[in-house]
Order: sequence, then C-alpha cells, then structure tokens
Amino acid sequence: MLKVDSIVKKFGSKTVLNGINLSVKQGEVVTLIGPSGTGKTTLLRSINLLERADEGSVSIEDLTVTNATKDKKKILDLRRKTAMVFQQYNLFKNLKVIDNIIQPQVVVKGVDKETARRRAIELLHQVGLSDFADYYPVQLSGGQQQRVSIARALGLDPEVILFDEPTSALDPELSKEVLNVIKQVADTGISIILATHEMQFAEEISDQVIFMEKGNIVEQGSPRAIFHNAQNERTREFLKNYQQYVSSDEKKVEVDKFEEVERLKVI
Amino acid sequence: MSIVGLFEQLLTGVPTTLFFILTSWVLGFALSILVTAGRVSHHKWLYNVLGVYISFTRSIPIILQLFLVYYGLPALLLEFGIDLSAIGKMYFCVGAYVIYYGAYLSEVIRPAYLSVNETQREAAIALGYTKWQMQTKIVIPQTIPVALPALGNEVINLVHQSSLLFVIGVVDLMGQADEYISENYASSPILVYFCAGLIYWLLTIIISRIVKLAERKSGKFLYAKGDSQ
Ligand SMILES: Nc1ncnc2c1ncn2[C@@H]1O[C@H](COP(=O)(O)OP(=O)(O)OP(=O)(O)O)[C@@H](O)[C@H]1O
Ligand SMILES: [Mg+2]
Repeated sequence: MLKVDSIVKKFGSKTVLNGINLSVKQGEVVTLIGPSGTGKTTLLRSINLLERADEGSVSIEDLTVTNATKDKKKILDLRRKTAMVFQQYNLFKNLKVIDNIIQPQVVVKGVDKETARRRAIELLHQVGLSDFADYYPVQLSGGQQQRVSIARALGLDPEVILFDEPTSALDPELSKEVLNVIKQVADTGISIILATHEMQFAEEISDQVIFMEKGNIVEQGSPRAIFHNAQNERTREFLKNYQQYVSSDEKKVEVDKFEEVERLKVI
Repeated sequence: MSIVGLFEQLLTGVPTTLFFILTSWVLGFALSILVTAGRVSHHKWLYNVLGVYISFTRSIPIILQLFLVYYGLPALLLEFGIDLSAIGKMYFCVGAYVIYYGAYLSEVIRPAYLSVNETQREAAIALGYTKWQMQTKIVIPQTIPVALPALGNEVINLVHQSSLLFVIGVVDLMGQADEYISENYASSPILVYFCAGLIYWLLTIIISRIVKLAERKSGKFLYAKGDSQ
C-alpha cells in the first residue's frame, strides 16, 4: 500500500537518511525506534513530503512521488493520502476544538460543513472529548490536545497516519490516554507509522518494528523478533540501554492489567 | 459669535476629514498588504526594493511627502505631457498618504505575520492545505488580532495627521477652524481650536471603540486562556 524506496535525505553535507526502504501493508502498524537524531522524524516528514528527499521515491497505492517530481498537484494528492500527528500537537490556535476537526475536512476533502460537523462530533466522542467541542486549544491539557489532533487526522480518512512521538511531550498519565486512543485507531484497520520511544507500547501495538540508527535501518521484524530475539548487536545494545533507563524510571507507563495479560499470552 | 454657529461650521469639515481618513486608510492598508506579501515572498530583489521604499518613506516627514506629491508630481508629469491640473487637491492628499501608509502599515503587519508560529503553517501543509488555504484559513486569522492594536493606533495617527491637509488648502475640520477664525475677527482663535480639538477627540474615541471591538472579535482564541481548566 505504502512504499518508500531508497530515500536519501541530506541537510547540507550531512546525510540524515541513507537509502531507506520501507513498505507498509493496508492496516499494518509500523513503529520506528532508535536513538535520538537518527532520522525518524525526517523519515516521517519525507513520507508526508514536508521534506523532499534528495533521492528515492514515496508511493501510496498508484501514486508515486520521486525526488524529481515537480508536479504540485501530484505532491498534494500524495500528501492528502497521509495525515500527520505531531509531537507538539500543532492544533490550529485560532479555531475551536470542533472547528479544528471540521475545517480540514472542508478544505482538504471538500466535504460540506454539516457533514463535516457530524463527523467531528463522532470523532470527538471517539477520543472522549465530547464536552470540549467549543473550547480553544489553549484551554486543553496536552493529552487532550493530542487526542483532538488524532481526531483531526482521522477526519481526513487518510490511507496512513504518521505519528511522530505523539506522547513524548506528555507526562505518563496523559500519555496513557493518548496511547489508548492510538490503540483504538490501530484496531480500526488504518495503516500507521509511528516514531516512538515508548518501547512497551511499540511492542504491544506493532506488526512491524524498525530499528534505525544514523539514517540507516539496522534491523526490522515482528515486535517479538526485535524485542526478544534481536539479531543485530546494535539493536540489542540500544534495547538494553533502554531497559535500564526504563527500570530506573519510576514514572514509567503502566500497562493496563488486561493488556498485560494479553501480551503474556502472545509471548 | 455663537458657539452653535461655530460647531455648525466646524462640523461641515468633518465629512472631508472622514472621507480622507477612510480612503487613505483603506487604500494604504491594501497597499501595505501587497508590500508585506512582497517582503515575505523570498524574492531577494523584491525584498530589497521594497525595503528602500519603506525606509525612504518612513524617514521623511509626511508634510514633505505631501508637498512632493502635490507640487512635485504634477510638475514632473507635465514634462511628459501629462496634465494633472484638473485633479482635485484631495486626490493628491490621499495619494501621498496611501504611499506613506503602504510603507508604514507593512512594518506593522509584517512582524505580526511573522509572529505566527512556523508549526501552524506546517500543520496546515502536512494535512494537505494548499499554500493559499494555509494563508487564508490559518495564518491571516492569527495575524489579524496581533496586528490590530498597532493598526488601530495608526488610524488615530491618521486622524491627527489629516489636519495637515489644510496647509495645502483642503477645507477639512482643521481648514474650517482656520476659515472661521479669519471670517470672524471677534472670535477667540484659542476657543475655535479648542472646539475643533473636542471634535477630534470625539472622532478618536469612536474609532478606538471600533478597533477594540474588532480586536475582541478576531482575537477570541488569544483571550480564551483561563476561561476554564
Ligand atoms: N531542518 C534541518 N536542518 C538541518 N538538520 C536537520 C534538520 N532536521 C533534522 N536535522 C538533523 O537530522 C538528524 C535527524 O533528525 P531527526 O529529527 O529526524 O531525528 P529523530 O530520530 O527524529 O530524533 P528524536 O528521537 O530526537 O526525535 C539530526 O542530526 C538533526 O540534527
Ligand atoms: Mg524525532
């Protein structure tokens, strides 16, 4: 469904993505993990064409944009098959919560306003924020804003939603409510690419985990293969350091009891 | 001399003053938007050319610019065989102030425009807005409430500066005050000017109110903080 082919991205003389290949099937959840500064964000931004790659191509279904593509319409069309959820939510400050979900539908998809409003009300309900329709973004907590931004993305019915560390600006309690919403979204069968430092969550939610380092994909596979049976020394080391970090962190996100049981069954 | 008669005469100058303020402001504002668009458009030469225009215009006293346009322009164009003598004084005045405000207001609008966070533009683009949609739906609505207080001040400035028109013989509010004084020897000039001042004051109060209202309406999202949570 989505295919990233040999993407190279440089900032000045610095190569940030060094020939990345990636393919995502319909409904698949792919997570990107790896040290800070590895290029996860840049990869997501390249898929969304916020950054234009220096080499390589991005395809979604029958649409392909390469580094040489100049056709603005084509770029817009491909971009409109994706939706981005940012680390800092980036809700439109001048619009009320409900209008943050209505306007993109109207502007991007040409849906009429009433239909868009009904959809927005449904989506707000889905993310548990029905009571906040008439608030402005500044009046919401970070976790609430992030849930609105997920609803905003869903309203566009994208083929794939790109999440860039959606919870790293949030404290653990607020993270949890956002992670639950993402889980729900994953269950609806929409494709997801998610960059995250929440390993536990990555393990629970992913169909495919990709470990990146310095602009390269070092290893990729099922969550089980990566988290419990990594073949590459670099992957193991990264996860080991990470585990130490997590176990020393008292505030780590607790997994719901139910999900814990589910997870143990899988293992 | 009757105070009622004085006010009656002064008020006949008000429509001229208001016409001048309204047309100069609207056209000057429109020009300033174009200038701002040029300044933020990433064309280096356009940026520089407009920069010179802004710097020149903002550095010269407005009365001098008025003279340049009123006396200089017709003389210059006459060299090329274009005769402007049939055109009323008022149009020169409006022309001079539009050139002036085009530069002045763009320096108010540009920082307000640039104050809109880059992440807001990025979010719109990432969701599939076109550049135009991003500007009209997100960036401009966020620019307006930031620019409004300063724009409002500039309108009030314009009210004050409109009184310079009488220097080249436009009979606005100030012009009427002047005429009244020369027609009524018995009157006290101080009193006449004071009454004209009262009318300017009233105009300023009304305009301030309108600006405040617009600020509140366009800036709801800025002032929403603390209403809840
Ligand atoms: N606009 C830019 N200009 C120059 N360098 C950039 C730019 N954006 C990113 N980089 C560099 O590219 C590298 C990859 O950054 P990126 O943000 O993609 O990493 P990341 O994996 O998302 O890291 P993190 O986990 O901290 O979010 C970094 O070294 C960063 O400094
Ligand atoms: Mg990142």
